[in-house]
Amino acid sequence: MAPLTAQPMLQISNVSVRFGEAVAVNDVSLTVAAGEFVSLLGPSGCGKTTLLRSIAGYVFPEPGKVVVNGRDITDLPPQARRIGMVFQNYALFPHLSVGENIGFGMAMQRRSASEIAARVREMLEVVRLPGFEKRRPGQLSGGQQQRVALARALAFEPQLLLLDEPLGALDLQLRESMQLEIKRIQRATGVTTIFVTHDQGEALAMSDRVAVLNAGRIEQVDEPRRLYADPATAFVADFVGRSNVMAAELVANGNEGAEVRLANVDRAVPARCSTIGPGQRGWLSVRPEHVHLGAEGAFFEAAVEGALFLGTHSLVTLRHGSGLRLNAHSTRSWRLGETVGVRWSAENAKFLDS
Amino acid sequence: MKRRSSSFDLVIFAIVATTLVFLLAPLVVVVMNSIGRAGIASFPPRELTFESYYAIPSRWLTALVDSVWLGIAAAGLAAALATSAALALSRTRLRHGGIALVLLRTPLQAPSLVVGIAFLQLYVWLSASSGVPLRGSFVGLLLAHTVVSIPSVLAVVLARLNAMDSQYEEAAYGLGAGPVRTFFRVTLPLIGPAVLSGVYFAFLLSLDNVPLSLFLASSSFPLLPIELFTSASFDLTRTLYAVATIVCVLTTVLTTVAFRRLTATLVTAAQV
Repeated sequence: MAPLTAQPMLQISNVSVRFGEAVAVNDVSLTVAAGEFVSLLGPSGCGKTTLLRSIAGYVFPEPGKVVVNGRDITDLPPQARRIGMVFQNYALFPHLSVGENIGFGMAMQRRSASEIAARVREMLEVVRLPGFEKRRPGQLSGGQQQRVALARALAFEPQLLLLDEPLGALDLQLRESMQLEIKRIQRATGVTTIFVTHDQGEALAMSDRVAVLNAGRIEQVDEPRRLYADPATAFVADFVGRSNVMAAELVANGNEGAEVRLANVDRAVPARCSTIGPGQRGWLSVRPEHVHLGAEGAFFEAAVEGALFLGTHSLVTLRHGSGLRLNAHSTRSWRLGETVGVRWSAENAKFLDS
Repeated sequence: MKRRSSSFDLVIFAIVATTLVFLLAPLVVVVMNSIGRAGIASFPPRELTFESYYAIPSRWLTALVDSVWLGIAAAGLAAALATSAALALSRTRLRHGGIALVLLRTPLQAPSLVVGIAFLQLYVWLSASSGVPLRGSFVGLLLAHTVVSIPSVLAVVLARLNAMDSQYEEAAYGLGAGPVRTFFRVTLPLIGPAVLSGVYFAFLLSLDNVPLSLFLASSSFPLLPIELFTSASFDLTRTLYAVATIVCVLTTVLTTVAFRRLTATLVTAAQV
């Protein structure tokens, strides 16, 4: 990653996008360094595609500012932005050959035919489809169309590469190999990339940083590992990886650590918490792999409600007398209805106030 | 694949056969009459001859050429206008797009005779008030035929545009093409077959439009359907049937060729 002192490649400041009464993107700010791969992750309808389209110039923020490479492009139409985009359904021009599709951006820049042909050949090498110039998009498989769309978006040397759920239309196996391909091509070209996805696995695997969006707002921007280990909000804890997110109230927060009370559970349980005063209501997030089962040092007891054997471990669903449900990973087998003690260590239980 | 014919197949066959008989019977009458012995037309003809074809007056051939030119010009102009309107209606957020669409379709909804009289009144008023001589002129006919051609082109082009993903155009913009280059390099090639089929129907509508041309044509710019209509009102000569047969053959050939090509391109376009 580029040092933070360098000029950011993309700077989005307080961008909001409205469609009539509906607010699709709500006061979002994001800075992306040159060469960085940043994912916009969120459920459908969270505003991630709209945010991407406002960078590309297909929708205009009101208010907000989009700066690319030091230049304010907020009011520029898409054709003046020089930003490459790969659409969800690729949008390859069906009446043009693969070569003409890839060369389209350069033809618009009025480059010479020989220069375009050379660049098209080079791009087809990069996406590993050499000799495909004369084919029609309709003759290609989904994965091949994906590569051509990528080559087209990169051929005219864009300042930014935008990818709108590009793997959504591919089957599972192809998705995984294309994840690696996109990463390889992105590293080879060094292009700053914004990747929109609703698949948290995809975002974690591919990105330098991930921005999690919910209801038009950014909940957290962080490196994948930190996002997973240290979610900033209950939404991120639940959306990125799986987590037990339980309603909780902070009862103590001192040097010896924090304690929270879960609804209808008799004793307070240890947690990790940043500087928030007692009495605060919020959520406690504990990942299933951090929930330990056994009588020793248990915080409370719960009944085994179900168990799914997943190979390396079982996913055990537990139910406390209060109605509280939580999931745990376990390597031993459990009988249904069996009562078991539950505990976790404080550093793996994060209290979140939002 | 072979399967047993059912009573349902028989019903379908009967419907298709009846339809074909009613579609083709008048044509058969026209063709048979054109090759009958000279004199007053009657059916069936007693003796076969092609002499009525030699008797076609040259005025009618001029009228046919004029009608074809008018049809091509009107359909072409209507295509340009209707395609622009369709683009505006489907690709921009017009404030009163719905009203505009209804207005553009009115020429199809009003009876042609009424539209013809309306144009006549407009032209008479124009020439009286400002001396613009549109009545009986090529331009006057062209304007009227264009107006009534617009709805048929608009319908097919708008349907195609609405069915087509605007991501193609967005992709072109993103790659640096402005609105003009996006239209000519991406939009037009993709909607081309629809525009052509609209143009084709507009041309056919113009070619045999009697009610509209009746009030606007003149001896300085004779049109075939009007010449035939006038002639038929006085006497039914075999020459009339001869010209009608020529027009039928021409349009049938044109239709067959056009449909072959259009279905081929439309099928390719539908796969997009």
